[in-house]
Amino acid sequence: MTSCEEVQSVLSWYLRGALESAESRAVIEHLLTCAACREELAQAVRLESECAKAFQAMPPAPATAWATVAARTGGVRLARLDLGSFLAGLSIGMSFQRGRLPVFGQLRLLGRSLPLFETRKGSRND
Amino acid sequence: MRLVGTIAEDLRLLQYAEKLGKLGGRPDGRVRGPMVAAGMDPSVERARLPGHDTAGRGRWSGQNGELLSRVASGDEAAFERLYERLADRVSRFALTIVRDRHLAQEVLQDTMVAVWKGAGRFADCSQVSTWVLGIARNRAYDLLRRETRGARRTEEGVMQPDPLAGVEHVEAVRGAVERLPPGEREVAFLTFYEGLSYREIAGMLAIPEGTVKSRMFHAKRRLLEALR
Repeated sequence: MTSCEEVQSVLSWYLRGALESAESRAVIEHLLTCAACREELAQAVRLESECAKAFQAMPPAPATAWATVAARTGGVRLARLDLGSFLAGLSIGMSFQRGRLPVFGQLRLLGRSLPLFETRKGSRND
Repeated sequence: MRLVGTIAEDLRLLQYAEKLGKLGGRPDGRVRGPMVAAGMDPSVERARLPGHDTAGRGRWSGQNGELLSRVASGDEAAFERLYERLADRVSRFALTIVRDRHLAQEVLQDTMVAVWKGAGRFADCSQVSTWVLGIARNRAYDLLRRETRGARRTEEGVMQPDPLAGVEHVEAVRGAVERLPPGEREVAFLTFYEGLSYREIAGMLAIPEGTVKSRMFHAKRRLLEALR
């Protein structure tokens, strides 16, 4: 690698130390003898930080995205039916979990709930 | 100039190491770059951002690797943490490609669901983030093809003006990045924001290394033009 174009095309990676030793060496040797490429290197340094800033300024992930991901992987509650009063009653619900729809039942007694059944056995194989 | 001094130093060290019969450099065969040597290491800045591992390439290495191995065994808390670490990066990469916020959100969601499902299949010798970004890229291009067929493409300016910056040339760079051809834009993103080497980029994009270099060469030309 000795041509100016070759050297200039890898300067950004050279700056970051992302070249192999032999390549780095070739770049260094070229830079020591070529003023035009040294000038290009100075430009590359400037470009490096400006571009990083520009990409940083892009909007972050939308806050709502996680809820969707969680729903598609971890599961969300779809429906819940409560019978009786808060002193004693029965709850039946259905959630959506990794492509299946597990159903659960709970017995409520004085504000505490006891699980009766839940159809969510099985591993997360898709 | 400080950098030229560092470069000369780089060369001297290399020659010295060669005399000793071994080549100076990092364990992975790379020489530290002058920005690193001059205390301007871009990865230092980047490492402070969430989701960037400071060290460790290879399977399960680094924090992301540990999290992913837990995700592979169905650990939902680990998945949420991994999501938090990678979501912004995936989202920004998606935006770089699709240039539409709704589509980018779709890419992010699909990608993370695929990560959850496929965590056990991560057997690459790349970093976890590179693997995840590769998935995002495939998804982004799938969606773009679908959208192009449906002709619902709305290219929008995706880089928000930063209220703190207020400098004209920052705006100029932003505009110039957005105007880059898609292929050059993603190479610029992966180099400047993700800090990947041209080999890693070539691997992810499944294109020859020479193509990555020439895209970078042209991207730099265009960007510098905007900076003048």
